[in-house]
Amino acid sequence: MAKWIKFIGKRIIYMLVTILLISSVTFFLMQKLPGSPYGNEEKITSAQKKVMNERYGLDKPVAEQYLLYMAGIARGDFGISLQFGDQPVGKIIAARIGPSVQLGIQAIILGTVVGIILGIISAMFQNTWIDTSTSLTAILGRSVPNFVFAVLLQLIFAIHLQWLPIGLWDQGFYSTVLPTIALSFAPMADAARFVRTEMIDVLHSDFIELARATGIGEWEIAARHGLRNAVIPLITILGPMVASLLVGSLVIEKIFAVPGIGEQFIKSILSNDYFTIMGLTILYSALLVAVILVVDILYVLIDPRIRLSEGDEE
Amino acid sequence: MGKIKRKVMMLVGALFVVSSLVGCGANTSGDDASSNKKSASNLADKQVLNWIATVELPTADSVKEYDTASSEQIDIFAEGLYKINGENEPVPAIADGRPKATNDKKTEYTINIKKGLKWSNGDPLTAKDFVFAWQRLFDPKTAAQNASTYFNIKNAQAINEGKKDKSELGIKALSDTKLQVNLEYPDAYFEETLSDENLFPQNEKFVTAKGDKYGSSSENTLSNGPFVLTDWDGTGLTWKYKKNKNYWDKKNIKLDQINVQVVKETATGINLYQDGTVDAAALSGDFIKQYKDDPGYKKVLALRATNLELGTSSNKDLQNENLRKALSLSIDRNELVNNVLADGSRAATGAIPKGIAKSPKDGTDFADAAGNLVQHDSAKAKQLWNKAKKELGKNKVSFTLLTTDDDVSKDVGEYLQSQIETALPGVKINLSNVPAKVRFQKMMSYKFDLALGGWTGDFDPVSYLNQFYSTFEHNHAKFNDPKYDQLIDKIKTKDLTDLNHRWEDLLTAQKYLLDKQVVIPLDQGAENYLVNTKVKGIVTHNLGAPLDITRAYFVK
Repeated sequence: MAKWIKFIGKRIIYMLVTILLISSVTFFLMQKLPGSPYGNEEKITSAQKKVMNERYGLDKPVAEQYLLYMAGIARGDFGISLQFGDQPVGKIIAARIGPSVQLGIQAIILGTVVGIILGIISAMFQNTWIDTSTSLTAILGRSVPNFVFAVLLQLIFAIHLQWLPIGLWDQGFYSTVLPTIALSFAPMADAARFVRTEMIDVLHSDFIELARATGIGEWEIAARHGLRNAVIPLITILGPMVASLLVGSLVIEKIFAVPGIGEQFIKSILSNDYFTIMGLTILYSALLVAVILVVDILYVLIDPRIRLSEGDEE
Repeated sequence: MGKIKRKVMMLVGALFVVSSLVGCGANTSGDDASSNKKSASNLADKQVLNWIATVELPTADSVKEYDTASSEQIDIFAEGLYKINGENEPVPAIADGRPKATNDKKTEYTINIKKGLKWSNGDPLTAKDFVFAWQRLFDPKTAAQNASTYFNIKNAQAINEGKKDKSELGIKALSDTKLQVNLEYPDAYFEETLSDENLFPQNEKFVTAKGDKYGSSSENTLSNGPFVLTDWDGTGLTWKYKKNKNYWDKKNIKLDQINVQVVKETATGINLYQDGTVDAAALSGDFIKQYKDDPGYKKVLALRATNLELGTSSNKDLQNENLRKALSLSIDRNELVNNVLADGSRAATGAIPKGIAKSPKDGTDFADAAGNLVQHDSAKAKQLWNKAKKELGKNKVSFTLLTTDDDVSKDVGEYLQSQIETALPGVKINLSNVPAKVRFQKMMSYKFDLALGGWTGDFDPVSYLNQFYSTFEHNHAKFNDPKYDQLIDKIKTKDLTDLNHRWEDLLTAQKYLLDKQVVIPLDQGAENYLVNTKVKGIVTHNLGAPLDITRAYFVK
């Protein structure tokens, strides 16, 4: 137990340092963005700009702005969004993150479950037409951009069959089905590819031969011995994918008119909405390092070859 | 597959465009006002409009608003002294009658306000609410981005720059129903200016109580217009309007409720429209061609002038007038709007777009009165280019054309490149596609060759011409001609006493500008919509927001 506390405690400290580094670098890089954060840039005068810079504290030296911003973060104040009528960034993120997270979680679950099943089937029927067709599905899922799927899904299931809404966020779970499926193709394809390769590897190893010799059925071997081993590399690639899915997808949210956070990041960068850029960068990096921590913990739990050692490698 | 991918990519590209359009409109609403009476019996039982918007509502604070997305919405729940009707003319809204000039210079006016007006919370709406809102507009603490548009109000600029106290602003409440406004110089389009959302009244008690939160959600916003804003959380993709019981003209408001849904993807919007989920859709790109014969199609010309801007001050070659003229003559604007843009845009005929002003004498539109000042003539272009070559002493010139990196701007850039290079052998155009903020920055540094830019003026044609006034900051060409400046000064001051003469001077100034080819006008943008044919009473106009849905109603 003490080992665990030490392990996790250390990781959390690294996490905080990482987030601090990322946000500091972003803050200073952001100053290099051309133009001002004011939307009416085409018509604004320089005298007005000066007045507004004073109002928003953007006339201060960058170092001072940085310290003020960090002090604000420590108090839980993420600043205001200039493209959203000076509303607090925290409020904007809080209001828009929900749908993105919901879609992200649903897509990850659907994608990995289907992907793992496809991967196992592929591996079990290696080099048959079943393998070829599932592999082809996986390649398509990976290489065709998800907005193509989104438009096709919308066309087939909403417009022609009229089973599901075209878009909007007003019918509860029904509204989430098509965007979830559209988002799930990438994790599905990745999961299927990895699980297939790993399964084939594992199924040819000696201990599986031994299991076969004891007379256990192929499917049971695959489920009990193969899958556990095959899933480990999957966890590595799923980590970053979870993080990126949770923060939303610009295109999917646009196509289905979902009130998510996906578009805000791009929009804030294009409009120099400094505090929104910072808020979302911090959110994104926090999610990413948190996911990495979870992956590390899962590794220890799933793979008995990795053990918590007193010294830890470092 | 590649083809499908490209198509879908085009769709996605198109949606970036629609959100960036700024617009106003042409009057295409002949059916509306007149049919109002006779159709009263034909009214449908359910009067709930499912409306659309293409971007979120950035702010509901009328003072801070600076974009079409906000002004369109604010017009639904708030109202100012005047409003623009379907003929692009100002009519009294909150005001009782027209403004009365009280001095000879026409810089002091009194305006009466209707009696017994109320805010949606029941508070009385008085002249003081205008004084408060206007002072707030120029208060540097508010940081209102559109403040400079109204620097003609006495002391506004000094207040905005922190040099004077806001109490010195040229507005006074003489009584609860009487306002006095002082201007720096006369304004030929004073009533139109007063219809702008930034000059709407605000309730001091309410705004002060809400502080920084004012206009950030429906609870934090007060209405005085036909409808009350509800169910808006400040960032969401949906909100509603309910009929305002305290509105002075409520008997003419037939809709009980308007539900607004933001749909950014054009294709999704059209699907929702055809499915009956919403009563309107915004069109863009290829969809316009597809739906332009649909009975629900509506096009509204915007007052955005897109120009090929010339960095005359930094590029020596462009200082040659014959070369500038050759460039302009080599561009086929009809092909540009019909085949390249194909979005309902109008080929420019001058520096001032169509629909902004009518002749005081006979009501002719300014653009029609001016005639076509930007011809396409490849032969003449070549001739002038040959002359320019001799004058410049070289056979080859090359320019970098700066455009924003969205699909439409890139297409226009490529089109201009091919037109110019084909018509004028020896002229080389290099394209530089950059983010909008970078383009603005380069243009404001006055160091560029050619740039695809534009201007959306105010209510007065002179606001387009003023762009080339020597000391104006956004005079990207740094055009400096005392004769032109004098003419603009005259239009802005002396001419105000004789509007017919002013009209002539406006025509002269535009011609002077284009004779020297200080700028190369290209096109005038348009907004395109599909609207449920059962919905009547929508008013379209060029000035202000393109569509006014406040008096809309459903027929059976």
